[in-house]
Amino acid sequence: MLQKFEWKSSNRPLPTFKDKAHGSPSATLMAGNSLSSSSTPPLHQPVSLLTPSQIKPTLVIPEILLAIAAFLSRHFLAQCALVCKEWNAVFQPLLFRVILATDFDHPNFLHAFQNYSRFVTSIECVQGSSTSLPASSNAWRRFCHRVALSSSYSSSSSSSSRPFAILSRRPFEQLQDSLLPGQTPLLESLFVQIQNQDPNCILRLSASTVINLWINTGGYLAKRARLYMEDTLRSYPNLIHLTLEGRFTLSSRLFERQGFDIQHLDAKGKAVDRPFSLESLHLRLVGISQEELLALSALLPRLKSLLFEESLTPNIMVKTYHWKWSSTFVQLLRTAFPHLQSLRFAFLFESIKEDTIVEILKSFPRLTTVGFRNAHFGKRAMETLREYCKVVECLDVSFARSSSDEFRTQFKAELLRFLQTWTCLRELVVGEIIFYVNAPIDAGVIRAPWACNQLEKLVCGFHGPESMIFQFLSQFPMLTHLTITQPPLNISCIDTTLAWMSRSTKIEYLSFEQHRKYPLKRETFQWLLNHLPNLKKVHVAGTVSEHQVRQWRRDAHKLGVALETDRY
Amino acid sequence: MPVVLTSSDSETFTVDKEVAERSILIKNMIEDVGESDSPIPLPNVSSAVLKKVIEFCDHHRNDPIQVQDETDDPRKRSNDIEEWDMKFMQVDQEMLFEIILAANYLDIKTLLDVGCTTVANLIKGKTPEEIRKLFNIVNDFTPEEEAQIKKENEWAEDR
Repeated sequence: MLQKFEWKSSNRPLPTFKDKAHGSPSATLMAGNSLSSSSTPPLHQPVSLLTPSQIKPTLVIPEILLAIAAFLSRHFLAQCALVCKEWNAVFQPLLFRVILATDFDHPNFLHAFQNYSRFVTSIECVQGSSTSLPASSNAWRRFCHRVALSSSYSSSSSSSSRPFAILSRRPFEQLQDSLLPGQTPLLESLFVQIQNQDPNCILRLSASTVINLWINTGGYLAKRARLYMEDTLRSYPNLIHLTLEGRFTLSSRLFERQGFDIQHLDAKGKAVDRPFSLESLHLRLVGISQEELLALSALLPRLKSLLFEESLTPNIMVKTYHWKWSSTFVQLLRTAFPHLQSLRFAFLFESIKEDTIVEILKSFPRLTTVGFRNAHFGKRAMETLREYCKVVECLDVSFARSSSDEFRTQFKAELLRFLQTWTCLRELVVGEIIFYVNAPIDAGVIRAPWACNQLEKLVCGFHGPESMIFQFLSQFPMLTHLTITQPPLNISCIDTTLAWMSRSTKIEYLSFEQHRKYPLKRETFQWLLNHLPNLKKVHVAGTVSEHQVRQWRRDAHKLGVALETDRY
Repeated sequence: MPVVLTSSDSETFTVDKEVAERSILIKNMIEDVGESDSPIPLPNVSSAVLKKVIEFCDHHRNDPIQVQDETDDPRKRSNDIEEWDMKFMQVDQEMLFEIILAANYLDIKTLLDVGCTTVANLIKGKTPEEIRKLFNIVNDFTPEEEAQIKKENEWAEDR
């Protein structure tokens, strides 16, 4: 972000800081509202004739101000923009960098935005009525049987900030007007939720700078719309991450013309004028056949990550993927997308068999992320993973409903052996597994510390007293995301818990099962807020009223911490 | 091998290469010039500031070098500073800003971050008037202009 001063590389006599400080204001003024990073270095600027302000020289250098701004939330940026004209020139545009859905509801927003749209890097726009469903940032987690897993899958950068309440209906056209071509040269991320509309209307926005696109159309489109990958990439040619959610179908024109032909796999990237750079394709409820997926490989030679999920929210589960797994398909998939590093399947209606999982794992030895929900991922799959996928960093597994107790126990034993030896694991999401922290032997495996002490995300259950659970968790100082599915915890102010908190300062998301009978206490909640300095979001079980928790949060002066509740 | 640095007021400091190279500017200079005994002039840094900077680099000599990442997403950045760094930054405002300038010039990302976090923490919770007072900044807005901006920015006021 900081532009390096020109003096660094030049042989010219170096100016003093004083010169620099005087040169800067004029540069800022000349550049008007544009960020100084694009203005010329102040070296060649004449010394400003303006009365030298009394500002400390440091606080007029835009680079420094920008560096400071990086540590300020928008509320404080808005205060800074009011300090003086020079500060205004630097801070005002920063207000418009990240636009949240709720911003559109402020009466003055759109008018102001039109003057500053060239600074926007990320927009989220939610169109719908107040009765519509929440944004589904957490969808990947939601179907895990009855267990309300709160392990939001953090695939998109803004998932944590996406609003849960959807506000008044607003015309999509407003956004469209603001995003006329050329108006938003810095826009990189676009998240649009349009209730029950044809996803193709998003393509009209056509912002070529966007690399991260998320389209959600909700679950009840009367007529199944069809979105073509070619059209999407034409409107957004620089896309890297594409997430599509809703009841529509994804296809390619190439496939409709010619159907799928094995020869497509040889013509990768040649079928189009230019190879597109899309690296991740995440589909929730969006239909695609196996042949259509394989045919996409001609357009997506660099694809690294694939995700399929048959649910959007807990109440929308639709059988979407009528896939037939075979060795041939796994082989074709490998040929079609040889660079895959991340594969996740949440097929809710037909569990993937263990033989297929083993085959997939053997075929993709470069996988770093492995996700099989509602699948027969058992001991054998685990063994294959250990043997073939040496670079796995993220594991996300849940059992098929029909799996037997023995199957589950054997998996757990193998998982424990894996955890005791695997050092590079960063994420473990196994909400149904309950680890015994108070017994020397767990599932027949002698308890030993886990090797993965760099773990960043953990979703699982425990068996044992609270003190031992937190003692156990103290071995993971890098945890940012913690969900304890079992047992219900009081979180009391005892040594072991305190010790954990003093070590786990990186926690950003916390969710734990709470007693139905003894709802969360005010002291506990505020204590958590005060001891976990980086907490951004906390899950609150339904027994305490949301209103009350909001008040507690206000009392603790921690309004920046988002609340998540059981109700959707 | 030690490196000799000369401050703007011609004081020389001998420091370990490993410590000096926390500064990307100095690191590049050493790489460009090659092994040499001649002192490296730092005409933008006074001896008082340079002393502080060296103290910081010496304390952090074993930290992994932060790669200049372009993810300047404010939400990703945390505002907590290590205790040692916090103590280190307990200096008067003049010195604080001098350190920030030096960190920027010498290209020491960790020091710049610590300095800017310190300033950001000073700004937090203050009204524009309090910020002006804190840093001795003159309000050059007319009351009308200020009211206008305040109204325009209403939407961004929510915490």
